[in-house]
Amino acid sequence: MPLVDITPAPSAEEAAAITAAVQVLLQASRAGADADARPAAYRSQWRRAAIHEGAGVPADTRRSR
Amino acid sequence: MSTSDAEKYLDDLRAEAMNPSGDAAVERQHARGKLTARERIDLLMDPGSFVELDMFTRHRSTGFGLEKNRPWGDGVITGHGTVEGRQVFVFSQDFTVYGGSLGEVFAEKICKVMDLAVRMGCPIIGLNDSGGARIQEGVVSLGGYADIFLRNVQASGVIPQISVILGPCAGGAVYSPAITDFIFMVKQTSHMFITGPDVIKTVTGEDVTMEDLGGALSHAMKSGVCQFAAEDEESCIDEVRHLLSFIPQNNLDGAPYEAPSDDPERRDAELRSVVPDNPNKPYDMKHVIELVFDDGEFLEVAPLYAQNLVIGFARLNGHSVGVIGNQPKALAGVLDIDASIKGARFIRFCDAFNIPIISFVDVPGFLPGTSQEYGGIILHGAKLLYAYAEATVPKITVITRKAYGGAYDVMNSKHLGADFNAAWPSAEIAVMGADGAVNIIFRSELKRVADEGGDVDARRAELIAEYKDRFANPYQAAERGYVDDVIQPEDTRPWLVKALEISLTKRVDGPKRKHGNIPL
Repeated sequence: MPLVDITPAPSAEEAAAITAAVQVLLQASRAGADADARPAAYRSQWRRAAIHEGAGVPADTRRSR
Repeated sequence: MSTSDAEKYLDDLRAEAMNPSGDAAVERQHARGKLTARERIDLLMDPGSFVELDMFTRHRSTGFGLEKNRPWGDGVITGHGTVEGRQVFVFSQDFTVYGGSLGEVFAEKICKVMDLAVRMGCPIIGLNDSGGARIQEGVVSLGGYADIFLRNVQASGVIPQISVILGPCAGGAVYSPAITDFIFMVKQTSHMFITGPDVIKTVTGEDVTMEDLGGALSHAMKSGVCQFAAEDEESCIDEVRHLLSFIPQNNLDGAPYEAPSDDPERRDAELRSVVPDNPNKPYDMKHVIELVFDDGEFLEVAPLYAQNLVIGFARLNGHSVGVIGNQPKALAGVLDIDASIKGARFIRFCDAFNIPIISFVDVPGFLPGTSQEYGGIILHGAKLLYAYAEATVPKITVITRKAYGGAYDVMNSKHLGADFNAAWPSAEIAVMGADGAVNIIFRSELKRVADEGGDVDARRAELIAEYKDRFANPYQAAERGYVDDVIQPEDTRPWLVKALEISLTKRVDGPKRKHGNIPL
């Protein structure tokens, strides 16, 4: 996409405000992407332990996964 | 060679490797009604996601003129990519190169992606289209098969393994797909058999066509070897993608979750009228399943084999589950050898890959007869029992109507470790049906009535009504806690959602052992 000059140029205050707004937007979208949409049970340590025990994974290797 | 020459050489080499047999061979493949190995990968994988490995491998064999023809890739395309964003490994046998025959390098390539799939914890999908062993390579090709078999066994229960048969798969080559979790075939173009029609004719005198012997429908309906028989390659591979959406990447991942659009509290009034008043009248258990699970979606596995037991995958409030149901529409839902084997293998898959199991029970018992007894129904029925009892995933049962005799025990009863059991008001949980029970319990009385010239049929009807009042209901079992609740049919979905979601953190740690001894 070609660069476009926007005129008139924003003032220092306006530029700072735009930058802050973009940062807030980016942080919000990143948080949304990181959020695990699955029910809490899927993040349960108890459930994880059950799966590992079922697969016979030794206890000392469970922690590192 | 200058850098630009080297780069051009690579481009030329890659172009050659992309089509090692030439356009005429591709046309012949298409004329057989088959896609090429690359076209199949393109259908399977998300666009642009496939990364090929070992494109520049070639066989090292000599003799029989092999040294004069060393095609790039040696007849199998291997690599990884994504399906709906999930990483998978794949090998795709290229029938246009040496008829897809398996030699040393061919086998090495398959073994390499199998090893990678296990290391990375990803499913492996094999697209099979091979004439068998590369005879010119002798025992080396046999060794190659065994190397693959060993990896199939070692990967079993660790990563999902899916075989798609898209051409011939004969002799020893069949054992790799046989070990994998699911086999897909295409009508008319896929064939699997140990010995072909010509050998059979010579040895036994039987006349049989390729399609009747080892075609998709034969294996989907008669042998149970394949679980999915598709009309064409496109729909076959589409079904593979669908199946993948229900199963996890490996045995340490939970079953996939998809945010649901269906209401977990949805109560379908139609469920009230599904079970007929006449206990001997059939109904369709698949209809019950469709009314209960998310959006009516149900991927039935092996729909043409042992139709008296329905198995498949569905979602309940977004959670992937394995569903098993007796089918009153086929053989009255009785359990026989084929149904027991079908159910047991499915349960073991679900258990290996952390997929909860939900069972719908309407079973009048095991199928009587000499063919069943001589065929080993005792052992095969025990497989189903063993698989249910051994499974440690969440296990939930709904008894819709009959749960008679030993089949009550086998079909995920509380006694075998089911977590939650419910029964509909129409449930009959008893040792046997009323007619049979009255004939046994009241044999003496009925004989006496007959001897005295009384109305035997009227007395029998009275006794049957008495027996039904006392036993043909769910409340004796509920009194003892063998079912946790008796629920209205339309409450089944909300009840199951709650039972499943409380069970998602289920933890069972049984005694340690090398492995059990399932009655194989």
